Amino acid sequence: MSPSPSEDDSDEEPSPRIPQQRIIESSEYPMRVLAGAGTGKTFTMVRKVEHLIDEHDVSPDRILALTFTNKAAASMREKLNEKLGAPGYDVNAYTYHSICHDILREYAYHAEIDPQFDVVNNADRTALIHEALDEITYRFTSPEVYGPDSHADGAAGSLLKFISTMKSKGISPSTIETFLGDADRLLELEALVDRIVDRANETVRVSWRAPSADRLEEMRDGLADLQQSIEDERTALGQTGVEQSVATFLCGMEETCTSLAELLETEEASIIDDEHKPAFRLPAYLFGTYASPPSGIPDSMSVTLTGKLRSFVEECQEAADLVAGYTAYEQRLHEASLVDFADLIGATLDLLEDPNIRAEIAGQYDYVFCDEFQDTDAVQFELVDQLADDDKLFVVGDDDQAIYEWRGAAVENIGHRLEERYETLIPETLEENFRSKQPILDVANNVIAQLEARGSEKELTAVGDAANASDGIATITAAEDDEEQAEQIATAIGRLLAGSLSDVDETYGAGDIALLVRKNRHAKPIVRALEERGIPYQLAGGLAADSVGVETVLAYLKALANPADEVSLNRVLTMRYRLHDVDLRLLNTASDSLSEALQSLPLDQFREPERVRRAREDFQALRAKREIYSVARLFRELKEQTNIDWYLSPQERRDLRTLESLIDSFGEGALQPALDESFLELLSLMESLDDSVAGVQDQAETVSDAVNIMTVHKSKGLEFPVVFLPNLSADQWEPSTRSYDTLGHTLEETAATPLDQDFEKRDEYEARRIFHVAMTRAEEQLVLVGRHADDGGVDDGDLSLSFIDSWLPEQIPWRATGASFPIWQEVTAGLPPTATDWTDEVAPIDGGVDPTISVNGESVPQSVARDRVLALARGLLNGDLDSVSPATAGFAVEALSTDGGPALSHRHSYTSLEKYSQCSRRHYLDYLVRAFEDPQRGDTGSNTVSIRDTGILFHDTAELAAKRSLTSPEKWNDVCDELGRQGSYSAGIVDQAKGCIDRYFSTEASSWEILSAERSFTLDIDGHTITGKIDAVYRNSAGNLVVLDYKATTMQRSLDDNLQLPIYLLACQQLFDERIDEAGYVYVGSVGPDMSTRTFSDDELAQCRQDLLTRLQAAEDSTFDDYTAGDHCQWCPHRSLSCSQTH
Amino acid sequence: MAGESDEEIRAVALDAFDDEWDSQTSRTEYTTSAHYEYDEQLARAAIEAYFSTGPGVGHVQGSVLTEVELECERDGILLHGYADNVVRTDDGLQVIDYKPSVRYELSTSDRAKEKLREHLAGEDYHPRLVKSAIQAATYIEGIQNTSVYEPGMEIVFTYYGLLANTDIEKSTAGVQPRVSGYGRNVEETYYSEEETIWGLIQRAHDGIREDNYEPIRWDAIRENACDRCDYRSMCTDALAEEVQF
Repeated sequence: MSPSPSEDDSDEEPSPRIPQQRIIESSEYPMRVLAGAGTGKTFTMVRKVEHLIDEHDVSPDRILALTFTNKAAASMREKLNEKLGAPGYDVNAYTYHSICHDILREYAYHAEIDPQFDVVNNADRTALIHEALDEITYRFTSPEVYGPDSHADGAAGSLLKFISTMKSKGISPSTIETFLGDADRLLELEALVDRIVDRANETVRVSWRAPSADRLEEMRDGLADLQQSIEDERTALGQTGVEQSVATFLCGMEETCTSLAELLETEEASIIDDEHKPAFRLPAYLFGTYASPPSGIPDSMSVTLTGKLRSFVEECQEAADLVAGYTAYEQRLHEASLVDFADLIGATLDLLEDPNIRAEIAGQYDYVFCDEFQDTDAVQFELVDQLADDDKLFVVGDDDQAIYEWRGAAVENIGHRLEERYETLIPETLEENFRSKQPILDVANNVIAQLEARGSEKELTAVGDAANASDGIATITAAEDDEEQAEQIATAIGRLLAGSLSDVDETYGAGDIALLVRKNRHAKPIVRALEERGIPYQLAGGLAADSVGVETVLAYLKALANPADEVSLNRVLTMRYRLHDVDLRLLNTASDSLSEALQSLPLDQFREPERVRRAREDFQALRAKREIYSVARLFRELKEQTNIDWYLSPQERRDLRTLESLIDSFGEGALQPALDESFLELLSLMESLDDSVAGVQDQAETVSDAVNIMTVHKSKGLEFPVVFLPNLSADQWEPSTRSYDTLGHTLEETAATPLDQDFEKRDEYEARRIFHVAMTRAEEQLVLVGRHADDGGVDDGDLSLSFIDSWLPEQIPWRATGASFPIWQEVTAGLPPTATDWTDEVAPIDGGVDPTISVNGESVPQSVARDRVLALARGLLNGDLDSVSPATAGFAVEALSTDGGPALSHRHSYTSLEKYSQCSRRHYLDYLVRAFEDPQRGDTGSNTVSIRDTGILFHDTAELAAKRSLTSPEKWNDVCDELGRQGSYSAGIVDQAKGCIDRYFSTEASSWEILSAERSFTLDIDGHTITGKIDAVYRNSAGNLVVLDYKATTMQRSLDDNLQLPIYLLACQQLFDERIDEAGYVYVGSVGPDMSTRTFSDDELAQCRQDLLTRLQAAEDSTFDDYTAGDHCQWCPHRSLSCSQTH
Repeated sequence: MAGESDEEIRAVALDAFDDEWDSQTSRTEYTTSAHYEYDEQLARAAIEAYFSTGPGVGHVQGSVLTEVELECERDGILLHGYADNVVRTDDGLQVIDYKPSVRYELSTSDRAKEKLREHLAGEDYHPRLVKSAIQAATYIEGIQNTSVYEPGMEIVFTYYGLLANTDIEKSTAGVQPRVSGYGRNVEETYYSEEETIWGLIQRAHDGIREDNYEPIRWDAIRENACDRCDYRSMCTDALAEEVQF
């Protein structure tokens, strides 16, 4: 078996490959590993740590491992724990931020910060930014807080972006102020640009069209005059700060004058005889005298020297305004004892300047390991450098996957900056890819190889069967219209699910497929198209806006915050309470306001009084709670009281998670807002502001039963059998200049100048890397969907861009070609011969998405057939179906779909099998078609809900406590409090969970050693798969391993008459080398404290395996038609069906 | 105000603006003081521009009616609206409706006329332009039913965009808004498309009277209008579209 990449949860660890082994065993430091996508970099790093501990007796707590996300840090701890047992948890696995957080807490006194400091959350930050905006003197920018088109365009978005850019580079407000100097001077510098343009108009702009030797000579004189004027301007400038930077620009302009004069002389003949005729317009164009490229200069050339200088001066002017806001923001953070993420690192760096403290902190670690190093910014680089005191530094990352530069990350950190800082750096690379088929890697290699200024020359190669694969790449030439492209993609996905694509042998499930978009808005039309076809999808966080269900929940919050918001109230009455049109009219035409009418009109006036009554009661109850509960808590109450979840589709429930996590984030900060309109406004602002400065780097959560849709950024580190990449066209991938990049770079290092590079180019490089990341997510099938951009380029008779380039001096960073990424051109040029074109196969068939189908032998459009079904349903509800003959009214379900719909997938768990043995119909409804549950009625469910919540909270507590190796009830209670807060559990549930903890600590199990907690498993039995999680594996006092399942329930379970424990033991046979034959339950609910275990012999397990197989085979055939009525019907979520009445 | 000097008129306007601003706006509607103050400057700059470089002084000096309710009736359809200002001109009367910008109002271009016809024919969907045309019809016809109108008078109807062009002027003393207004006379379009415009009015009138709110171009409405509609989130038609299968 080949080594798996970091993402693989495979339980059986493969052996390292030779290049990996060399790195693992090397004792040389500092070492940098450039590890391509899917080459197992985290695997290698974890194995290296393990090697140090196992083979070199390094104490785990002398090792520091830094990663980017909490999830990655936790996953590393977990992997080390799996390999090394408890010592694995002693390795210091931190994120770059969390280590600083801990250091600052410990050294708060030395760092001169409040030891009780809090980390600023989104809500705090938005409020602080708003306050800081009033400290700005607006001299160059508009004080309008939000832009006309996007919130991010206004002063608030600018300030947020400015602060984050500057802080990521470690640039303080005073550094900026010193650099910029006097505001008057900044206005004069803008006038300087105008003067140069004016001068160019006088010296090099000509009215004649036919060049001659005399005219060209005259122009050379003009260039000399212009050059002299620019030089005069330059010598009048100061030698420091912004004036020095402007002087650098002017130097570049002077060089350009020289070069252009040479051009006119050298190419005189070819200019006069037409070949390079338009070259005589180049000086006037480059010095800004034309608004757009004149005849003969290609339209695609957008750079002018005066334009670049003007942009720089304007950026400085903008900064001169914003810096006051930056100062105020810092001040307010400090006053409120808050720190932001950048401060955590900045303050730690300040602290580490004290050699004694640095020696003390860095002295705690002998080895420093860094993951994803390409994503570090300047201050994080310094932090690592400070902590890796004696250079035992191991850095792993991939320059080709650096996609966070727009947020301050610096790809140089893993390249020349690291090489310069550590002269003895040992460079290593990993190029064997364990994920994708070779043709996919070929395309990915090809695109990245065209990246100028690339830091490495890695070439990914597949291993095993994937190395010999010749398929795996498909293209679709996208329709011009986004909706049509979406249809193409939805058709392709539908066919993949149905297994009806001609050149794809595999049949894929929806969860095997990912759709990765460059921009959020690319997802929208595709989502609609998938919706129309009934293909399940999941939008990863941030993309789930515009969900009908989420908007209904938001409307509920709005109506609670402001009962006068009748639009929202109407929305809720329609969508949640399903009020009849007549009743809605009655309420809306009452003399009272809508909310008053809802409370006061006599119920007997309504056509459906029960629905009105329910709405009335829910509103009353929630309004009363609004005053006393925090938003997060109220949101939970809202869901419980109204059961609104039930009214949402499965997709909408998934969408709702984004809103939930946003609201939850308010539960963690210093600010605990109440539900009012300003909060709701804040909520919508945060969503829009966060678009510009995304706060999270975490991978998306994926699902196994729906097409995963996410941005490329969210997909980093993930892998999918099939990946679709839509909107591959030059205009959608066009690079752009990033705000404050040039200024930030100039201020970052002492010798830096604004002419060091073309910052727009940097965005182009990043676009290429994003595409590389996107492609390398695909394991088996990569589907590239794009088209050529409209030709905005070069006309006949235009100078060629390369000719222009050859005459631009090296002192200036801009090229005539500018920054561009002709993505589809590069894709199509580099396709392997085996790539297949699906364009024809996914072209719309007659009738588009409304094909003709056969219904009882009759041909009708699918939409007509659907309408007929709905009419029948309506008739059934209204009781007027008499006129229909049952013989002809019936429909075969299959007739309603042309592609058969997505295949139903069979994945089994212990619970699903148990349900099957209870009732086949229940199994069919819950696990195959995932049917809606009945709505909850009244409060009957609240007791079971609280027992379930208590159980979940206890399990989560036990898991986290085990991972942190906590062994006292006090510590467990602390964890329980922490999780209770995070999950907004009510105080009652937290108390009940603590009761469970008490009971747990009264059992013998609490004195045993926990080896593994919440361990996932996949058990394969003759081709059937059972998945599940084992609560805990313990080593008991006799030294034997025991599997324990926690029960927070009110009843004990028999140890003999169930399959749960044997399933766990069978799974353990695959998970652990050591034999486990004992399993049992720990009762922590009201029936406890108690524990009972038993051993299972090999024969018993073999028999159990046989029983399982029988049940699995039977469960495969579960149907709606078979059901078993019994006592269980009273708890069945589908008990409204007639079957439950038969009991 | 006929006897006042240009300067006096400007001063009265700006005084009135100050009072109106204080009574009609509130700092609490804004996130920052700076933005609130800037908007005040912007609005004042619009008034100043109207009365200095724009036609404001003339519009005041010739004003014969302000905030006047105009009514007209044709084929049993009664229309009414409030005209901001009616000015006596050399040849007749000019009715002025003040807007922030005239970008989306009726114009005299052939394309604008064509759009009205397309809308009536159900071929395309241009609701903002139709609304603007109905307003023009109401005022142009309505002014003729007032005491200031005399037969034979020429009627001009103007949409005046007070904030038609805005920009900022950088200054170390603080950024200043730069504003200029722009007026557009559109009566010519009304006269040349009178039949079309009254056809549109007739249809809207009948629809409202008969409680017929069935949309004619639902697809276009959804695409162009729903996003800006305050009632969308409770509109069962819009919701039905979103939850359809």
